[in-house]
Amino acid sequence: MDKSRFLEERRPAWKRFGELCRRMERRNGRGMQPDEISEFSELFRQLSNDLATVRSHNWGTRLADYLNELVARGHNRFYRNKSVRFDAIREFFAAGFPAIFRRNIAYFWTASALFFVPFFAAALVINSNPALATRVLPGDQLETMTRMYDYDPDDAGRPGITEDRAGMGGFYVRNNVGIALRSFAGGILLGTVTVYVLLSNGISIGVTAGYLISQGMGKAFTSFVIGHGAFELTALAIAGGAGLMLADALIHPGQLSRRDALRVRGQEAVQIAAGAAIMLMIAAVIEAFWSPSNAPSILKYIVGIVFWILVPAYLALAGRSHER
Amino acid sequence: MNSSGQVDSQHPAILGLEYQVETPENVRLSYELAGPGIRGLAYGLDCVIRGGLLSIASIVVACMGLPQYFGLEGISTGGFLLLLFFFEWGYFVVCEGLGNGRTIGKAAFGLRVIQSNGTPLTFSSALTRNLIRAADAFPLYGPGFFTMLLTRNFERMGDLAASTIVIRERLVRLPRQPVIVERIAPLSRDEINRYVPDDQILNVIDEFLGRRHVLNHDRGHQLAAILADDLAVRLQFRGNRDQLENFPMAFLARVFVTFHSRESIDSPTVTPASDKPVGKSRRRPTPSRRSRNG
Repeated sequence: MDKSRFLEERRPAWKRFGELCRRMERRNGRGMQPDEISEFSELFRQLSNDLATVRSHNWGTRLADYLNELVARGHNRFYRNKSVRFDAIREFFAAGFPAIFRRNIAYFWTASALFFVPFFAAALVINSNPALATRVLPGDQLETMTRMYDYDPDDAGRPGITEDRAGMGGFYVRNNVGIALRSFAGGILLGTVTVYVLLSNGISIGVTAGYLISQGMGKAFTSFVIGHGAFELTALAIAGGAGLMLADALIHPGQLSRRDALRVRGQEAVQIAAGAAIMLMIAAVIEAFWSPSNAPSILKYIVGIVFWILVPAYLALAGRSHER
Repeated sequence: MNSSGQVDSQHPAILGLEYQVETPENVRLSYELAGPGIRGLAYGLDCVIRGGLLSIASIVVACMGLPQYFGLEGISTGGFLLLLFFFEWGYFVVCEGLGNGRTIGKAAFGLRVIQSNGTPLTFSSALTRNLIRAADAFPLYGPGFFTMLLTRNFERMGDLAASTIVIRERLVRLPRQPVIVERIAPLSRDEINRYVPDDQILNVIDEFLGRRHVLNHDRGHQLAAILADDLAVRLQFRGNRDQLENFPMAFLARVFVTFHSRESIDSPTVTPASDKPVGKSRRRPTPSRRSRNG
């Protein structure tokens, strides 16, 4: 086989393949005819061969580079992954997310302990000794809180959804989802950031709750938070658990190398974190448009309790039929 | 004969920006890894784009007086904060996840994220590497940069968790025909002895002549002289010394022409392991000719 003859013979195929590659890249190859696709796959195999031929004959690095680039591009197109479809998203929330969550539930329990234990401890301590609250949170922040919840939750005449609620909704999404995702991402730093986020949020929310209850705003506060709390607090612990998964993959890689352990468990952890992020977005909507409404507090408690039953039930039961 | 096989086996030892993947077609693909510098530039461009879009959006929202239509004062603030959230967390996920591993910045600098086995970036990997970006980025991309220096393929922590790499897509063109063999006279039999330069030397000549345009005329001849003199000694060249001394490139071309056509007749080519026919459809006549030779 002679190089110049090889070039002459193969050049049209290479040109054609480059053209087909470009068309595959455009609109994900949707405009292509069936026979063009089979031509693409045939040419892809031929070019793989050509590349091997050029390499084995040492027919110049530039020629090899040229073919390498073409074959790499073809490889990228040929072994395409399934594109994200709407079905897949629905399937994820109907079954995938709760199933993966249950498979890794130990991380969730750990994260819950790191979050809820300081939360209740702080709430109890501050409730019995409110003066300690200023040791944790700045005094003016506590004062603002006190003013915010200084209303009778059963006064139907008070302004319920004030005009800035939509703005607050945006704020809740950015702030809360941001916290949750950071606590997930921080897991890769051996869990340090995750643990810090869980503990500090548990303490500061606990202090706020304990302080407000001690100041006699318990009803206004609890009727406000109970609804979205079901989503928000659970999702924070879920995202923290996902972060702990990353940390655990690095600390206890088991039979795998650390790199592989991180990849394998990271794949599940990221899905859990994504589910938690969506839960927090639901929480933000509730917090912006339901929690501050002037519905009677008894109704808010009932709805809140329903949420607190629905969320765990969803996590515990959804998609169970798929698992067998 | 099969010197090429030996050269190939030494290849992986080279340290550099090369990343290699073995495909199911039994072909080794090589990619050029993108280093922190160019990735930083692409990131910078993405930041400018995000900032620009965000400020345009905020101006539009403010000018349109959106709140009137919805009867909610906070909607513009809320919308702005949602957009901010999207640009903080979603921009890279959406761009890379739907754009086959490229954000606008990466596309501008010819970068692409791929799975480390060479296949396209999956959506879940795009999600993983870009959520973990938060850990890489704080403070000032220090942790990410540090990890990139410690890993073999410039992987930041997000890349490690998602098993992705960032490559530079090279713009390559088919090299032009190296030597116009028809117009160059081969060395005649009585000018030289029976020494036959091996394939490797011929390939070096081929490649050198193919790229002679990057050098100026004098420098090209200077470099060619090194090999030309050596070959002339080995061949005990008795022909035109003038040409050898003044135009060593021409001499190399003549050596190439002389032995390059011989090579295809004399030396049987051993089919290397990586060159097995894979598909049943091969229109190329190569295999039959090969087997006849071998």
